[in-house]
Amino acid sequence: MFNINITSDKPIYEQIIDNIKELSLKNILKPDDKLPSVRQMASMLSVNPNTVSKAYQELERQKIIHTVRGKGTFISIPADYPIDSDRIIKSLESLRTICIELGHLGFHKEKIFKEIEKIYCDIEKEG
Amino acid sequence: MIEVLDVRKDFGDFTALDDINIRIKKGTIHGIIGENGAGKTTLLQILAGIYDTKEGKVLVEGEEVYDNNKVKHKIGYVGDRNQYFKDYKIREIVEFYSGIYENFSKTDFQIYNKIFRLNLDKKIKQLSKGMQMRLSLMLNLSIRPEILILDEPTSGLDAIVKKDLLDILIDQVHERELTIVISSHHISELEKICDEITILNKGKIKYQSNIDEIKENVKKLQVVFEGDVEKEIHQLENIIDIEKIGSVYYLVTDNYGEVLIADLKEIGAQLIENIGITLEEVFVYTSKIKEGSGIDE
Repeated sequence: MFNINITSDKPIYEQIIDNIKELSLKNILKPDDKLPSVRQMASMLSVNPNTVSKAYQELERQKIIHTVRGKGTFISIPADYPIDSDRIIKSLESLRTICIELGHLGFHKEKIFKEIEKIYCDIEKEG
Repeated sequence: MIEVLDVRKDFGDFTALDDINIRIKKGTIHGIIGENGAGKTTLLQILAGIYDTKEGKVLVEGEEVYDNNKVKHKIGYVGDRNQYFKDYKIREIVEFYSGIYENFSKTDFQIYNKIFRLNLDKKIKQLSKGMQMRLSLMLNLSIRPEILILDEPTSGLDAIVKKDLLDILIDQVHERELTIVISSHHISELEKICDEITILNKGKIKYQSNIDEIKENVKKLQVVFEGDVEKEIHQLENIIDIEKIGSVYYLVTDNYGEVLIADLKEIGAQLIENIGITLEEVFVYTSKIKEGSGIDE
């Protein structure tokens, strides 16, 4: 499924969240697909089950997954996501920071656009 | 909840532990890291109620551990060296355990033995180091402890059994809210399974935090400056290690934040990049500074 990178400065639960988001955006995890249980996921990644629980709770709070009692945890249908304005604002802020940072590194607007296109190509190809 | 309160332990003139305070919540995994001789094993043995402390106390759910059978029944202890009766057969040691621990489950032992595969008719003295570790793990899991204390449990285990052991531990923490205190020199293993860690250095706590917090505070940065900053850089606060390769500085900080970024920019940082750090590196760097400051004292 995916691996945890301990060199990364991202906490493990955030890595789990980001990986599941990415897999779902790439359509590798489709709506209504069942996710491994907390225990299974913890064992697959050899991580603490409390860490997986924390990631699942956050994903559930963001309405990316949902739990059906007695059945398990499933990927939600994207249309079901209510618009979370906090997350939009946050994401746009990081995009702004990245643009400024890249600007300092000599990337002009067109070059950044090209990079963004590349990212979309990758996402669509893998999906 | 395990509470270690102001614990100090002396062996003759030697102070093995001093001023130790740790709180471990139920259902969590707590890692203990330290150099050889830092006091890890002594601390774990005090948690298991093997030693009395000179000062301070260890409480489990509010009750003292030392000389308290009621509490000790709930604690499994797997030492780094296990001293069972050498002439006993495994079968006999299982009987011995089930006579002592009221919650000991022979069914559990059999289930675990499907994974750890020991011949019950072998004598303890015939077992290799890894096999003895397997036995000790199985016995202490089978008493269905509420707290499991593991001193270097993965040393001597092969990679396959190691993974099986991790799975069992994950299971028990998730399903029974088992609390685990574990020491290991394989820091990358601890990094993935622990909720919190304590770094011991010469009998004292040098760092204690949950792993996410450590990752937020301790960072390794790659920084490029305009001009020469050799003097200024050594005066910065919260920097615990400085390396320079060509014109690039590699800084390790234990208090990352806007203040540090502003300080760096003020002395002319052109590019500040976060390059990630492992718990192992955090351990090495934090031990280093303490040694340096020790000389000054």
